[in-house]
Amino acid sequence: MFFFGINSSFAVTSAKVESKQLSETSATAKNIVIDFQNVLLDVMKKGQSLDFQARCKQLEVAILKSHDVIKSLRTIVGSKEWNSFSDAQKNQLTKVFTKFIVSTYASNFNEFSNESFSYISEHTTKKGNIIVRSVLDIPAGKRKKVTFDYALKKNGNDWKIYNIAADGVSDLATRRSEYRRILAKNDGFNALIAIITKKIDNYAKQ
Amino acid sequence: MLIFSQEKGFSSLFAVCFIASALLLSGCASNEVIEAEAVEVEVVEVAEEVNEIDPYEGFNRKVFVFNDTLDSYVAAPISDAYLFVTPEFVQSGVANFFNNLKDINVVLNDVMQGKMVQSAEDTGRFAVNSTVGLLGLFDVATEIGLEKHDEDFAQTLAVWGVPQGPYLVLPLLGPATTRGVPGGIFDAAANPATYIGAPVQLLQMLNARANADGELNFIEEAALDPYVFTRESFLQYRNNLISDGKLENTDDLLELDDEFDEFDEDDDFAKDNSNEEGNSTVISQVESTGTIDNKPQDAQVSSDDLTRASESLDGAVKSLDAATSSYKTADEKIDQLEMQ
Repeated sequence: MFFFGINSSFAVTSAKVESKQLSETSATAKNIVIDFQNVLLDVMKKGQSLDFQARCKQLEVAILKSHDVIKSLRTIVGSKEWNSFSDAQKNQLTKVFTKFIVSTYASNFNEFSNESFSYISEHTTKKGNIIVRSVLDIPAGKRKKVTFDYALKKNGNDWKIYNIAADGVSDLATRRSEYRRILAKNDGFNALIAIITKKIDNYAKQ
Repeated sequence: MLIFSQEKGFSSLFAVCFIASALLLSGCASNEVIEAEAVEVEVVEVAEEVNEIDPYEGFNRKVFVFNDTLDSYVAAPISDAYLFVTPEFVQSGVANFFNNLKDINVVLNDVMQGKMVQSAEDTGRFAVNSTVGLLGLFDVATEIGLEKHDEDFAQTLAVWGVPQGPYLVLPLLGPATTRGVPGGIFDAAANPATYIGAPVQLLQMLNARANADGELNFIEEAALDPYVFTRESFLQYRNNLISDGKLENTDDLLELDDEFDEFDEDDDFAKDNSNEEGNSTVISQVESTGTIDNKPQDAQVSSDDLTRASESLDGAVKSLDAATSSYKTADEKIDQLEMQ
């Protein structure tokens, strides 16, 4: 990186080399998903020894690394609404939303009974996004298998998860209806922040 | 929330809801229903614009609150006691027993949808589980590789081209669409459990509620507006069942970004923040911003509601008509489907 300022012609060459290396070495969409699922399993296995906050900490790092939270959020609230927010509001909502996602994971992935993820397939959509399909196998209890589809979009050099569907139920589609409903009210922004914050507090109390 | 769902889809529906529901193990959720309702009441105020899929929303919401209340006071305590008292192998035996009887419905609907190979497999499942599996108490078939399928008459009607119709929340039964009403009636009629007697039916309801326990807790904890959350996930889940989970049908639902691509380019906020990934201090900066008003609920049922209720019943009757007339041509349809 330092080269850029010193010698532009050299910088161009090195940038090309670098981007080639990056595309070879940067994680594929499939690996992003698998790595993330491994963190989930790891947190579940340590569910007894880690408390809620500790699980949150570990999950937050993994989520920020593999997910495009802002993209998800913009899709949920809609471009018009999103653009009407001030930067401070965008910031506040992003933080609250991220914490909500992390808390939901931390609250639910707290125990391990031999669950496993298996990769099924991936395909590129017409718009150039990648959908990775995997199955969560739950040997214990009554329910056996849940299909998880991850939608990933390229952000810079990296593929990032921005939506997840479980047995065909799209997380963003469901949230979109909920969030837009709340935002349509008077003072909808503050109402949305208040409701999400309340949910986070409830998770933390468990 | 639904109390005793007829649709198997439903009990497994929420398994779905986003991440973990299927894993909901600990639960340990203290039922803070009041709070969920508070959110709901708040949101109801803006519900006025008419939604194409959910034209009876006002009325549906009232039934939803009714079901939810009844669930908290009646079904949930019974279900909790059942889950607490009975050993897990008994619970899964009961669940297997009813699932096995439901396989009769699955076979019938396989045939009606022209899925002949699958119907042979499912017949095999029923035969194995009813014999080796001791009247269905053990799901031996899954162990030997005969996977369980989920088919019902509402899906068959969809495959036959009967439109979905408006979304309904039925008292006691929970979420449905008008297409699901004749579907549910047919499935109940074709299921032996319906005829065994009241105690068995009660056990069936208890089993359905107990199996949905984790999912219902998940909604209570994760949904900002439980009514909308339930509606959206129910409709998407049903559509996924109709298409048998084929990926090509879910692209749009997964991508959802039509209206965003164009502004991706000029959103400085996203650019500025895209480098902040990995910054784990984000969370600790979140502050509490106050509480939600807990407004008293309007439980009055107005004549307007009654009109809506009767309209929604009309819708169901129309679906029943459509179902009946589509049944007349079932022959041809199955032939066509088989050829596909």
